Amino acid sequence: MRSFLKLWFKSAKLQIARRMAYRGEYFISLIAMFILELIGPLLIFIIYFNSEGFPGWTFYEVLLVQGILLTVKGFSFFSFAGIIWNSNVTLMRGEFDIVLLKPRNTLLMFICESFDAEDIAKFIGGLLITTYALSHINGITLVGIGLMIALMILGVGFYFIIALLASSFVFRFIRTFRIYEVMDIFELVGRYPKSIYPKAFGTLFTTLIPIFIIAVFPANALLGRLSIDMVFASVSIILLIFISLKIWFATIRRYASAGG
Amino acid sequence: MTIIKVEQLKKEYTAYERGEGFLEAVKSLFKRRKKVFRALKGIDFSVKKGDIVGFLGPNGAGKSTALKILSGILYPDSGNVNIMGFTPWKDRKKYVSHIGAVFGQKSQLFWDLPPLDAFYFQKAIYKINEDAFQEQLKKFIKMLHIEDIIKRPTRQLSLGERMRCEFVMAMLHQPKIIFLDEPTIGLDIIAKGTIRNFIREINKEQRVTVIITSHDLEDIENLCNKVIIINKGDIVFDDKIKKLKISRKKYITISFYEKINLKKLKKLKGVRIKKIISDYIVRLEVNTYKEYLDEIIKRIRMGKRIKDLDIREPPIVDVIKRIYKK
Repeated sequence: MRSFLKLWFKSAKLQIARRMAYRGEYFISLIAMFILELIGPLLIFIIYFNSEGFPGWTFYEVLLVQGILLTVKGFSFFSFAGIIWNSNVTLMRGEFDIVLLKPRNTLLMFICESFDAEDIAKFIGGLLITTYALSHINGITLVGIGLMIALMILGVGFYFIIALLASSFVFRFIRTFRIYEVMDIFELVGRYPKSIYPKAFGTLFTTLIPIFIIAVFPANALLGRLSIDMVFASVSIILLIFISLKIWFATIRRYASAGG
Repeated sequence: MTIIKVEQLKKEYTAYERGEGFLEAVKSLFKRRKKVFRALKGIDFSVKKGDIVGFLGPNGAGKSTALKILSGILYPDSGNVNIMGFTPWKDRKKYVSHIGAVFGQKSQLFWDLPPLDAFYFQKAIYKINEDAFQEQLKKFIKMLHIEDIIKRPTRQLSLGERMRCEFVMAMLHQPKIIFLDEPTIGLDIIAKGTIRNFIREINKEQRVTVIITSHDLEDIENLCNKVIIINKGDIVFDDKIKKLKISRKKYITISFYEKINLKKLKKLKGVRIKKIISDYIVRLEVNTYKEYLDEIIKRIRMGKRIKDLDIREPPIVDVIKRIYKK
């Protein structure tokens, strides 16, 4: 794992250097992404103050959910979700051959080569919003922060599952760029507290598709609102990671490369 | 010593066909015609350590598929491959650290960064120690004359310059076998020469076994000691390149002082006119299977005096064309 992390950091530095080869475009992209990602929290701000808000949630608590979501999403996107895009591009051209030629775990190597320098802006934006929201919330405990971070890591696991399944889908069907829109839907659902959903959906998003783990549950854990749902979602994430890894590795066996 | 042993290697692809036009495109959304394409029909061959083996075949013959299976990229449907004790697709991670590959149409370099950055990334991937890395790099820079180009962004390099850097990428970790798929494709004659010299040198100095596919028969003639010809998924020739060249056929260009009697020439047994260059000069293909060459020439002369005579082996391209047609 240490060796992989070393390689990942090396690759990250190279990918950033690659993007910086076109400095103007890189900075504009960073700023544009930062502004675009702020639209979500801004929307929540408008909804919160122009409606009855979210029952049982203060504004800063709701903002905390947005911050966590952006942090989890940003981290996932820059660190590994690039495999979806990369699957599309490399599979069409048969360039996955090069990944398979490296004496490393195929998935880890593919993740290394799929680092997305632009999405760092999302992550930084998320951290800033989270920190700002935290500074306005009272009664935070160390245990609460620990639980929040643990659930955020599982939230990253949720995106990992989606990335693996989407990449497998691309391996199977070649060229499925639209898969990103599915991820946007997850984000849209995970943005709001469980209380606003009908019970059946609430259960679905806690167990089979545990979307609440990407933001709502970590925020709840920090605020001391622990529930058995968090355990269900955590177990589900671990199981789903295991299943999606199996699917991904089984799918790459079908890799057929491209003609010469 | 045998370094590669391949037995009954088979691989099939399923492709989907559809007819022409919009309606067919819509139809294919719901129902597709499946076509199974047998890329490899159960091939057997072996390669000795230090060999330079040319893998030849027309487009779609199965040579790239074979190469990809041998380099651990593809899984075969059945068959056995033993390369230095490894089965490529089963022991991929360990196995690929002992091989190198240059695929002419797929780059290992980073388009926007200098090749030197890619070399250092390769060092990290293969966990090459600093001293060995510097020693190898220095050697390859000298051999491939790339000192001035490795610090320039890859996108600014010519195809020949890029290809030389691809070879460094493939050789930095000192592989025992190197797979080359069309390594000289699109290169000019000078760049081809540099690459060929490099292949020859690494083969001689480091005893690297080289497996090369190329449509450029000069690559094969200049480099290989063994040739495997594959056609429609089967091996149709597997022997030393000398045997491929040794043919009972000879090409003779003959020049006379007098006009040639083409009617009589056409009637001669075992003699075929390839090209009439002028009234006095003609290129012939003769078969020395049943008759000695001097006797054939005597018949061709028909008592006339010869001004000039040139006897050659048929070009390898003709030999291979004949094998493809079988």
